[in-house]
Amino acid sequence: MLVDLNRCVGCQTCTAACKQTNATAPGVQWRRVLDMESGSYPEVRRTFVPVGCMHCEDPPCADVCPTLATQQRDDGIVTIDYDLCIGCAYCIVACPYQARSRVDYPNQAYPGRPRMKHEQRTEHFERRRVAQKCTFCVDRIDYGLANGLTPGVDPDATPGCVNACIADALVFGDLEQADGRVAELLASHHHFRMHEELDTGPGLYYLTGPRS
Amino acid sequence: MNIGPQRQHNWDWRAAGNFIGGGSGSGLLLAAAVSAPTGIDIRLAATVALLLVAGGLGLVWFETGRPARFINVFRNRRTSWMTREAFTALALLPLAAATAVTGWLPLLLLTAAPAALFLYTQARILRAARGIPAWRPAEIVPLVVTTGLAEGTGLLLILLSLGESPHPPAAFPGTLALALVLVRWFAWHCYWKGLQRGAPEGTLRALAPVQPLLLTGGTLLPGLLALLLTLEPPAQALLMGLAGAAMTATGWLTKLLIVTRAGFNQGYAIPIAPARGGGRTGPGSRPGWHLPPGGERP
Repeated sequence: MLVDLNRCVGCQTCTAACKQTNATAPGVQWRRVLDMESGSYPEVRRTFVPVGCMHCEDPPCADVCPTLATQQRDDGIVTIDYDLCIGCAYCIVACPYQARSRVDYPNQAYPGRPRMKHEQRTEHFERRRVAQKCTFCVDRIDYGLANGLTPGVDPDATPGCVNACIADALVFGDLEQADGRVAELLASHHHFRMHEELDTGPGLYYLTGPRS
Repeated sequence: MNIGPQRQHNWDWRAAGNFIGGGSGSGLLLAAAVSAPTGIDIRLAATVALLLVAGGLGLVWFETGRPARFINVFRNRRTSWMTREAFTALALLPLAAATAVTGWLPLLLLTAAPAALFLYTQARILRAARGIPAWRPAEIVPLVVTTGLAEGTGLLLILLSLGESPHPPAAFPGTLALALVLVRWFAWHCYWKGLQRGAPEGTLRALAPVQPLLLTGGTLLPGLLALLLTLEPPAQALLMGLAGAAMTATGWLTKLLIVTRAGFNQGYAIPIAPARGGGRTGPGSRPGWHLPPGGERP
């Protein structure tokens, strides 16, 4: 996934879309947008930085997982099998991106009052007391691939956050497809990956500006 | 939203209890094995060690979200140090129990092997937690191993001081204790120095009190007492107990602080700020980190 930092306006629509698509509990955000300040007066900059699971090439969460609940698929997406996970939280402390969370109790927007209808419909008991994180909407990707669609091109095969982005700041696709949009943007823009010094090979690339 | 490193809350005092109990228990077994010829009570040492290791594992079991699925912990021996710890415990616990029941010296010597492995796996568990800058440095491994050995030797001194003899054998355990507190101090010094080259500010604040504590209470005091013990002075039992308590308590406190208070996560950072419009890129941002000029390490 690519994030064009020049385009992101920090509207949090991706955050809302992710919550709507995946019905995450209150307080849990698989996709977040940070509002970062850098520099000093008068050269102060403000940057909106979408973050979440980086689906690393060498995911430390998968290495430490004692149950094999966290796995990396052949396409690079890192998944969690909620039925295997024991909720030891080792993956949570192994992730340098704070992408994982564990919710122990049925969270609700208004504690002490009856749960709202949508909360009752989307309880997700399987996610309780185990690790959870962004899946790149893997069910949408699998559905799309099974039906001849292209992830990142066809909305039905693309993560909800990418579909929702109002500024076209989020781009999803196959990094290894040489003529794809992802490869093209990486070739034409300066980019970085967060905490690259930790050698996890994060799968989110941040574009900082076109190459001159 | 907080962007800088935040203290992790997923591993609390129960996880610290596993590192404390497991480290001290396995350290005690190792200390008892090398001190066995001096006539220690093997049954007592093995019983205390067994209770510590089993207690620590019990604590961490209660911390898991789905404890009924505990059997799944054995599924990833290829890469997970937690799985390896669990397998080592499978060998360690029955052997320690058998030693506690029989008091047989060869069995104690046999138990020392899984005890050493157990201690090492615990150190590697912390090292593999790459999201926590205070846990992932390579220096954490010698620190956890040496403090486990020092705590175990401290417990051995306490057990010896509580024995019936007014003059328990002190020369060898005293020498061992002296060596271990010095080695532990060196391991801590390397670890602390490494953190100065780049760590969350909260981590450094949380661990700052350890430096004087481990120097005075964990090294100088027990070191001096251990030195006296090698001379087999009067009031030997009292000195042994004091030295042992100081070695053990400072080790426990150090681990408790490392796991619960110093466990800040990585936080977020950008190496550069993007160019806006036709402008230039700007400096990045890494809030909440202590980074000396020119010094930063992963």
